Amino acid sequence: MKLLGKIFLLLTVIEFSIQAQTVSGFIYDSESGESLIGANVFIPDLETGASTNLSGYYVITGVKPGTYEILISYVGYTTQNKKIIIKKDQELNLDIRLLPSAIKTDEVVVTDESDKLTVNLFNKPISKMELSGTEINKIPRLIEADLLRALQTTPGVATLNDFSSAIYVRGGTPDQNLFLVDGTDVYNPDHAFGIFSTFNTEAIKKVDFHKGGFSAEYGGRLSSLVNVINNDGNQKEFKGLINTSLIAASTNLQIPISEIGSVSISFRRTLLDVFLKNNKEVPDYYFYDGNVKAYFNLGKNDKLTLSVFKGKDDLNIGNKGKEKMPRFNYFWGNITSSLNWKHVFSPKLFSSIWITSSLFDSNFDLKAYGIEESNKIQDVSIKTTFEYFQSSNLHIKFGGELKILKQEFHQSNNTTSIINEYDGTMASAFVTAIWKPNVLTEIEMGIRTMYFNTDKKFFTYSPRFNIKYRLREDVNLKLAIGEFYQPLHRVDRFFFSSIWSLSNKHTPIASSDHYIAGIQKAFGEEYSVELEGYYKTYSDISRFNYFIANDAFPTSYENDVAIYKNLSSVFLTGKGRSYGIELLIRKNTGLINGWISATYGESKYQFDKLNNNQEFIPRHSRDLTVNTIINTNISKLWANIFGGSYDKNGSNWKLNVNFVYSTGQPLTTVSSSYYSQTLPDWGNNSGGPIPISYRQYPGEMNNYTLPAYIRLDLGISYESKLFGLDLETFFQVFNATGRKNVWFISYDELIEDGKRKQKIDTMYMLPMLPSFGFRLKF
Amino acid sequence: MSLINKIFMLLLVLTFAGCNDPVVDIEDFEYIPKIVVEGFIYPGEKIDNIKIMRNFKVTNKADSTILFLTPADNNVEAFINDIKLKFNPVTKYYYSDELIPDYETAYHLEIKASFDNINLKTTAFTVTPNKGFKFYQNDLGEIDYKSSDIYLKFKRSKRENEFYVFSIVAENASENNFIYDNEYFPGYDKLDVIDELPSLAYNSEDIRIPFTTKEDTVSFLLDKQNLLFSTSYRIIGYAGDKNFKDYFYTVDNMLQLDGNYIKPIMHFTNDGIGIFGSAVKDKLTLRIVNN
Repeated sequence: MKLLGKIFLLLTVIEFSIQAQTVSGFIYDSESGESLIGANVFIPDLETGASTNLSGYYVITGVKPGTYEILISYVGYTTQNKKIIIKKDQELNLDIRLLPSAIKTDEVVVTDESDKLTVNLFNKPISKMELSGTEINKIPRLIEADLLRALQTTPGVATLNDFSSAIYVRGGTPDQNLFLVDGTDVYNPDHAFGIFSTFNTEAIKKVDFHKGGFSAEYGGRLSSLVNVINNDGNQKEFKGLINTSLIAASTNLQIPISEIGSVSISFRRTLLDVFLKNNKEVPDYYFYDGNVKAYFNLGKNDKLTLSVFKGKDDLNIGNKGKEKMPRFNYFWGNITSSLNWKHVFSPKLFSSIWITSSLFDSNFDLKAYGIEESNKIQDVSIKTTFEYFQSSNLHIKFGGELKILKQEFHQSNNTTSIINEYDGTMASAFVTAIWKPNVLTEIEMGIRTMYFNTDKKFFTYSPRFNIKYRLREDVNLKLAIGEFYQPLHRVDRFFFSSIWSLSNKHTPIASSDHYIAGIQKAFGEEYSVELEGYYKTYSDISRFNYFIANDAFPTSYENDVAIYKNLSSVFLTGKGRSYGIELLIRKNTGLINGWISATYGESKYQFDKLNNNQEFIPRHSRDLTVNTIINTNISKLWANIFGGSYDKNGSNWKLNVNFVYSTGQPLTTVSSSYYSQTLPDWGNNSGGPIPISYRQYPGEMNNYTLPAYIRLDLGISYESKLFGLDLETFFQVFNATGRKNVWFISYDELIEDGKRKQKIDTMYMLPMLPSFGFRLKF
Repeated sequence: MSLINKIFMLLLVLTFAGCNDPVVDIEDFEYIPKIVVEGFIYPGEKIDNIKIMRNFKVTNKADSTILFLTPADNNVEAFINDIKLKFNPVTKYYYSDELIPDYETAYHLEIKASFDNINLKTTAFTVTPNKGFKFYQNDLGEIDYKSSDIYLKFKRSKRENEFYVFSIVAENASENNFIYDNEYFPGYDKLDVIDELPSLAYNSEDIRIPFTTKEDTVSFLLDKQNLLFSTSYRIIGYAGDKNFKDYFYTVDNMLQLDGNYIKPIMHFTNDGIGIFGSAVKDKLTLRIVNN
């Protein structure tokens, strides 16, 4: 890693001459005014071009005075061809509005070099998947369309069980994923005890999912980055959408604001509590989330967005008059907000500044037993990113971030009070340079530094290196190496919300090294194949100390209540490694499209006090995972096979298939049974009963592999018109074959002939679950 | 066959393969033979109750006739600090006439045994706690269940990892002397009590004291949930060592929230499980009445 740093410093002192003008601007959807991320701008005569950044901004440098043809293309949009005249000493600002056209077609039309699949593959960073809101909605769902469940279908991502939407990326744990929504950190992206995520897919414009080796622009987590960019809103006309499923209704409204901008409003709420109001057997439960994003176009050089999100889950047990049941109230949720100002200082210098705040809190009380808990993490940040387009060969990004973090956890009962409180400051800075030494090669080198202070000061620096090389016209080689640090740790609790804790004198900052190599090949303009291998190491990673009740000593006693404050024994510290190979075969267009992904990998962890300090395979490790996503238009397929007419703008039946195979999850089994009393005198009680001292002893940690997990999900939708509005009616079946995938096992004692032995009961995951709903666009 | 057809065929095959419900067979679980030790030693008292036992495959019936490992049948050799333990064929416990443990002293247990045609060995050691722990009053007399709070007042054995556990045992507990008008189990009838008699009659409470605490005396409030019979109670307090503490807190706490098991902390090398611990102990009695 030190070598990387030296090379980077060398690179940054190289000067590049500027001899020509620039062409720059934003690219928008002509119908909605939404900026387009990743659109291509290309000047064939100069064989030079650029792609738009996350703000929809592009810059082509090195354009000598003259008249040129310029091509602007984006998947799903009609390619535009414009003539531009570049005059001496004049920068050309060219905002472009592309017309959506290909959305209703299944065919891909390549109009220029920049639009080729192989070029798009080359431009894509290693280990990155991009998904739009539309693509997420296509994937067959567990009742509700869900971003995290969509990501679970991508290579390198493992899941724990049907009840969890958490993602385990390349052997990492869910707390190692950085979730950004419009630039704001989201700490607990879960609804309904983890079954659904908090991201309302109706609001999503684009998701960039980086599975590793990502740029120095991002940090603070070890494994992955999920960067969610929500719709700005339609600036031309009022648009709306209503979506209902069996459990929830959601809406998205897009409203123009005069000539200067737009507002996008999304809201979703479950309705089970309304429908089951009089059912005393079902506890009161609902969740909602709402997102408001306002976009203001303040001129050619200034764009402002304000985004606010609020989500809440609320569970009340014992509120419906069941007097024997103790009252239990539990609610949790996120509130995030961000203000983002994008400013073009000069055509070559683009900046984006965010002020964000994120709050997650959860609270429960079980007053009958005197139990109360409050849990909170708060993050107020200011961050900035500058992009300097030095030349057509060099693009430099730099910036910084200041975070003020506050974390509080209080839990108390009649005898115990647990307090875990830390305030933290995190200051980060990064610089990264993307250098194209020739037309075949692109190198990105960067470094990120972090200062973190709680009751202990930490300083880290993370070099990142990324190289792409076009081996042949249709084959790309890619390599990424990077070091990542994480100053936050999470106690994952099955039913209750996770607890975040900041690094402190007891819990060090965790680190991970990524080594990734990949090869990509385009087959024509429809098929792409990507093969990636990865090797990750982890140091000082944290895991909740399950024996905290044994290891913790109270810091003091107050009125017979034991006080535990900022315990040193909350986490076990360990290390680990993950390695694997991923294959992704993708067909983005055509009558039948989708992808097949396969991952073969393994993870090994080692923690103090666990498994006699020996390495073990964590529960989320899967040897092999295969995912298949298939989307097709049945109406057109029928017409193609059996003849007949097909109207692409008329009523259509569509089929979506998701097939998952993965090797079973590792499990610790009981290896033997034995007798031993809890306390020395419990075996002696003349005249009274004697407690049974029959016990089980576990085998080696996660030494047994449960049977393979197999699931087929089907989705059929019918697109039609209702009073001139677009109506989509969908029917979904989760686990269509009804396979009983094993979740875990429990043990039962069996007494035969007065002697004890064990039998097991198998607990299964979700059965076949049909659901239906509709989406109405207006 | 086109690629699309091949994919559909593959999916079809895999889907049918997925229709079979998976089976988890407990017979596939690996059995690892272990020497099971239940041994506590107390400063100033003879060592007379070291139990050396075996474990069983989970699908096999636990056979009490071969539960205890004996020198004759299992070639048991057991030593504490190199002093060989003797076997009592009546109680089936191991004991020593020669060794009386002292306070704040290390004792090293070494066992060799064989069963299921496998030779096994294990070692463990305990450091006895320091002198000090003692109840101020060894008989609290008769106490009305509905009267005020009941405290155990004791003198500490000051040390690191200071831990006390109180074994609270209702002697002669039965469904006839259960206090039915208690606040904890309001709906219980006689059948409920019979079903749960051992867990109602045997209870424990524990306390851990920070090393920085200055006071020599502790008043510990007893939870009346553990005193639900109108009968005599014996309360034995143990100022336990680290092994005792780890065993007490983890032996019944193996099932994690996600349904997976985790090994309890037991401090044995090689083939041993169970407890080899030490404690300073004292006894207290009281009689609960329900007027």
